[in-house]
Amino acid sequence: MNGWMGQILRINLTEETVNVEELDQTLAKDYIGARGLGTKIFCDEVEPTVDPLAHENKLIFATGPLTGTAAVSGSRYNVVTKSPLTGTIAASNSGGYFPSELKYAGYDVVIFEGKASRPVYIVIDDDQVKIESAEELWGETILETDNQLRAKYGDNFRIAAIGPAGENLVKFACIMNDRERAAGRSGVGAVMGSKNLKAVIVRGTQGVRVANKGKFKDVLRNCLGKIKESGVTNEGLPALGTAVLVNIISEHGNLPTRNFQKGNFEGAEQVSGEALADELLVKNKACAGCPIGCGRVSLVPDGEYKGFGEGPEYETLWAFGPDCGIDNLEAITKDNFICNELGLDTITMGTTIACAMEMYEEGIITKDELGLELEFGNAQAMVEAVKLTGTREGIGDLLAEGSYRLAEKYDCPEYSMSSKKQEYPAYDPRGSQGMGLEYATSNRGGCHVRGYLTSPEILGIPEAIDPLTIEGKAEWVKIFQDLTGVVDASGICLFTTFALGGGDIHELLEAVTGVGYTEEEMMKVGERIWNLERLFNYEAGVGPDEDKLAKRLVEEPLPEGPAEGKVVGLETMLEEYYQLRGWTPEGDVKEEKIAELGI
Amino acid sequence: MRKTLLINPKKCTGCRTCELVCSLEHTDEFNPSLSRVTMINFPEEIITIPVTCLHCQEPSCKNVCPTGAIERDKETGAVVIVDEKCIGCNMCLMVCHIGAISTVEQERLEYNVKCNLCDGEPECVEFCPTGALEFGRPDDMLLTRKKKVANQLRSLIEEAI
Repeated sequence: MNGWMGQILRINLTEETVNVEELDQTLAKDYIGARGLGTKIFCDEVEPTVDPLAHENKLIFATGPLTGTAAVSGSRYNVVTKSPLTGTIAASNSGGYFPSELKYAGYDVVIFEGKASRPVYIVIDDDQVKIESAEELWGETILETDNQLRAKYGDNFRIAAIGPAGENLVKFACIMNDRERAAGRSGVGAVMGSKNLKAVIVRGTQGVRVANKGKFKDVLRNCLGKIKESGVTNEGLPALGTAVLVNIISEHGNLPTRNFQKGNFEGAEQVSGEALADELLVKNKACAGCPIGCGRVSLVPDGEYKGFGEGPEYETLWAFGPDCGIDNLEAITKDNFICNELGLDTITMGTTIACAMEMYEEGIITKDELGLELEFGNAQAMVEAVKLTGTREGIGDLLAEGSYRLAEKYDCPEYSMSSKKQEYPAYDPRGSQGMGLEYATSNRGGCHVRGYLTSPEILGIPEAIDPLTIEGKAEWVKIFQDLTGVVDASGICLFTTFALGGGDIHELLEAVTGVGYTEEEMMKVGERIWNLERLFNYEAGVGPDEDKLAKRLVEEPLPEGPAEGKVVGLETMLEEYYQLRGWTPEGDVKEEKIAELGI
Repeated sequence: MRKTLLINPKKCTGCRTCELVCSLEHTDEFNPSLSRVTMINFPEEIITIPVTCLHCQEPSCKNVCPTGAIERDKETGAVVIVDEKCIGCNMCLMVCHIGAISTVEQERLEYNVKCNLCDGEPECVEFCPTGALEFGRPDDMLLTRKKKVANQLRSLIEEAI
């Protein structure tokens, strides 16, 4: 096969057995790879009603046919499992070097099933696969785990691991790879922890074959030209990282502030990409094959927030910054470093603290219960709360459940800014209506990277549309969700779509795989993935009733700024969206649709 | 004047595109383990540097080769291995100061490979997104660097007076 390696590695942790299976070529074509193929295999093998932390749940690492190639930013893999945070399907995406190395070792997909009787790590060295004791690594941070494993096996191995957060089953624990890249959302790290699986290390010496080398190079040159021409991929992201968005989103008045109480933050300038570049940025860092290099390497040279590492990204800056009412860039950056060490999703961590802060200020939760003066703007208390969460000490045990369960415990779930129990990222949908529909319909709960409507609504890519209207948004959301499915399944980074369109991605896929997709068939794969995920969620008990937003976003108008007076017009958009998706007016997937897509 | 490969470590973002396009060019597949250029990673310091053959003026590999399989290409100046003469003895690999020679297995035979500057148009340079790898006349490339330093000096002096 070209693009795909043609093999699936299955590791049963209960039995401590390892099997290699052939990849079904039809399945590969129909679901491409990564989020698509991983989800298909998962849905075929796992009961939707499974307890996410039970040994019957499986954890799948899935790459795409473009992973490990020079196709722009072909560095990604998806971790697919059932999420302990949302109870829905989880597909968590990460780049770096580890995903490509899985391909070089010969595998498109690795399936972990069962549960080890003791802490273990897996060594994948081409066709030699071993299960080793991780007793001595259990409890170590991500960086220490990485240091110890590299000391033992050498720098040619690429490592994915969980930190204390994953071990302690924090519901939003990440799986970190190459030290500081994160399969961040939906708590995939907790599933890995529940299996007693501390780390996976891999080295490979096999090649990813390409169907048409000459055509590939032509297509690549063309794509790189477009990346160079785009203001976002050639200027904004390399110069300022994703943090370039702080000032842009702030100007539009939809930078969620103090748990989404308003859409503009007085200290935005101090936590912007520009401030980061001026004060803490050391250099840019790229994932494999990436010409953009949005990654930041930052240094806080001294003081109480001293530290060095990767980040912060925009979402992190926002979650620990404006959303918690904090304008201390060093404290925010420190929180990012601690999250990377412990293996915590920065978005859910920051927004859960923001939720606790509002509950504290409203007198719903007391200082005695918190053990911290957790008021908006208290950077020291915020940093302390993050540390406690990773180890589930004190109030950390409750924060580790995410904002929804925290607020629900105090009978005020409306304080949780989440859909399907996963917290929203850094865009107030009252000032970006399409994003509201995306949050409500995303198959993994509150999430911006299933259909990034910020692109047309705020950045004007591929064309500018009015962020404040609901008209036409359903169609935009559907197309973006389907295209994102294809991008994720291919193994390239979503950020390429700031410069590339579906046509470019189709050409890359064709040059590498040569399977003969039409562009229409490729987009159909995206729709197939979307419907499959939705069907799984339905069976898991998370149905159309959960296509909703936090009460605040549909009932409380934004108090000031360009979107003043706006709430999200969700109901009307949802109606149109169900129709465009070919679902029933109630949002159920029809049998005809299932047949049409061949699910 | 002959063209030279220059490495600018500060510009390297660690994307490994050099390894990917190198292996594609020479082995028709994406396979960093067969690449003639290797990105060296210092994870604790988050520093990456591409390392490849520097085409030494006094190449130890050429001097040690028992079959005379290593030559300097007259046009490109590259130190190259002539496949037909290589017996895969690994002597070049043992003496190379850079570690830029590797062994590959092809059709059950092991033999040695290294960078040949892609016959004068190195793929790694063409596709490097940040200019961490450059190929050109050293006087031209170094003049660019000198100018940059001169500009910094100029502004410092202007600030001071």
